[in-house]
Amino acid sequence: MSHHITEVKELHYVYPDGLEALSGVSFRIYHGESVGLVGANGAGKSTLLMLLVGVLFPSKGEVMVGEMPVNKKTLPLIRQRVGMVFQNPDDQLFMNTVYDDVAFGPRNYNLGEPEVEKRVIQSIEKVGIAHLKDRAPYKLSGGEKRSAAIATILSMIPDILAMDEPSSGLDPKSRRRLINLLKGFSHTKIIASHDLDMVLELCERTMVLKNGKLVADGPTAEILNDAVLLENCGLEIPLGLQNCPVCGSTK
Amino acid sequence: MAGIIQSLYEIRFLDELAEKRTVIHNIHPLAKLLTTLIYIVAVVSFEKYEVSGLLPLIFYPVIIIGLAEIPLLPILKRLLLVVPFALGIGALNPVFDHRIVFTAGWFTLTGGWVSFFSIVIKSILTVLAALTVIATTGMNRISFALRLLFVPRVLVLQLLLTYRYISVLMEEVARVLRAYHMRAPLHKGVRYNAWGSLAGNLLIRTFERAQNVYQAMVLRGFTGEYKTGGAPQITITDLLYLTVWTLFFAAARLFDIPALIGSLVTGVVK
Repeated sequence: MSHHITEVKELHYVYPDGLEALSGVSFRIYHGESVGLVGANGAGKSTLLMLLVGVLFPSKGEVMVGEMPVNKKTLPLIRQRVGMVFQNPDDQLFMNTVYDDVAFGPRNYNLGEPEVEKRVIQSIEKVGIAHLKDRAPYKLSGGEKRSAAIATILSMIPDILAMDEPSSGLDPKSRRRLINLLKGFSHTKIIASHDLDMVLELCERTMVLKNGKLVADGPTAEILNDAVLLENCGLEIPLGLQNCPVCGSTK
Repeated sequence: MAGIIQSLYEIRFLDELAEKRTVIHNIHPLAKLLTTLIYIVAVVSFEKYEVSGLLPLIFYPVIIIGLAEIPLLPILKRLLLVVPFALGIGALNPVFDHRIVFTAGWFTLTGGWVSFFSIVIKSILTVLAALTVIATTGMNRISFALRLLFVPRVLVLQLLLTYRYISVLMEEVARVLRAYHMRAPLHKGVRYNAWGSLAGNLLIRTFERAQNVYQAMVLRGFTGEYKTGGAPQITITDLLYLTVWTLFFAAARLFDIPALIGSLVTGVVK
């Protein structure tokens, strides 16, 4: 399944103001893998995701999705394959109804209206918001908005889901629903998050970014148990792996 | 503050009305747009002292509002926003134009007043027509109709995106103002010394939000053409709708219907 490999080679990105957001990042993500991308604020997580979907282009280095390099020519294909869920669902929902929003992507790829409808219904049923199909997105609750934003991506039938802080701003129950939803997806997932407990549950592999450099890449259970590494990178051991805060008993 | 957030919801109100399904909503957007344009041209083409000839044209918005089940109050509220402009434009007419056009005992009517009323009626009618076409069609479908009329893609896109981003801008305004008032509870408005930084901040934030929204659109295959789903076919009903209204507008324009009815009635009475 080499066509589903996402590969990043010696990636550098410098913002126009001179800030080097990524320097020399390289990794390979295989088909069906679920990868957590963690790091302190400003470590370069969002920039990396933007580079994966071709919103930004590297200053140096290369991004390959499948066997295609990400460049201006391949963008339409890349964007069909990699679905990006933004940190703020309000940025992603801009149509008048949830239905139109979910249909926006497929329509842009010139699919016939019956196929568009099929995809929309499948996507909103999958995320459990079929009953909100005719509602205005800006009137939904935070959790519903997040589900709608994910549905807008699913309707493009991507192979890879790139998510920026998917659990931010969600109440515990909505967060749990989101985690269960994502667990059910067979897509390759790249999840940038500060919610280390979620990463622990969803991702078998974790990459740690610090000041634009990839400082660790390995099994989640190992990385998220490495107190020194996490401390160095502005993170801490997830609550799920810490001792009991009340009685202090070890896990 | 609450006012801004409220109006944010109200901006989309017309678009929400457009999602209804009534006889009028089902008419092809192109037929509705053309009818509205012809109507506006017909209304504006009346000469400046015409009042009675304009009256039959009120039937058009009234019938549409009735058939499309548009709630009257919110539409009138929006209409009120425009009336001051019309009043402003016509306000000086009664002062300068003293030509007497009608006298009945002590009552004299000058040309200034007649043209003033004509301006007000014309603006009410045209604005009502524009509001009803949006409330029964929605911006997306109006843009679709504009494209059918070969209006350049760039212009249509500008119109649509401006319409979209108004709410983005207003959300940011609401946030900035909320933050301001939290820390300046005694100020009634925003103090002038904060205007500059407030507006600058707002501009940058809006750019940022607009960029994010644009990126979200581009990532889902947006290439400049705003696709809004199935393009409905023009049917006989749509053509009939356009023809009947056009004939009515032409009749109202060419003949003074109230005068005709008046003479008919008086003729009968004689």
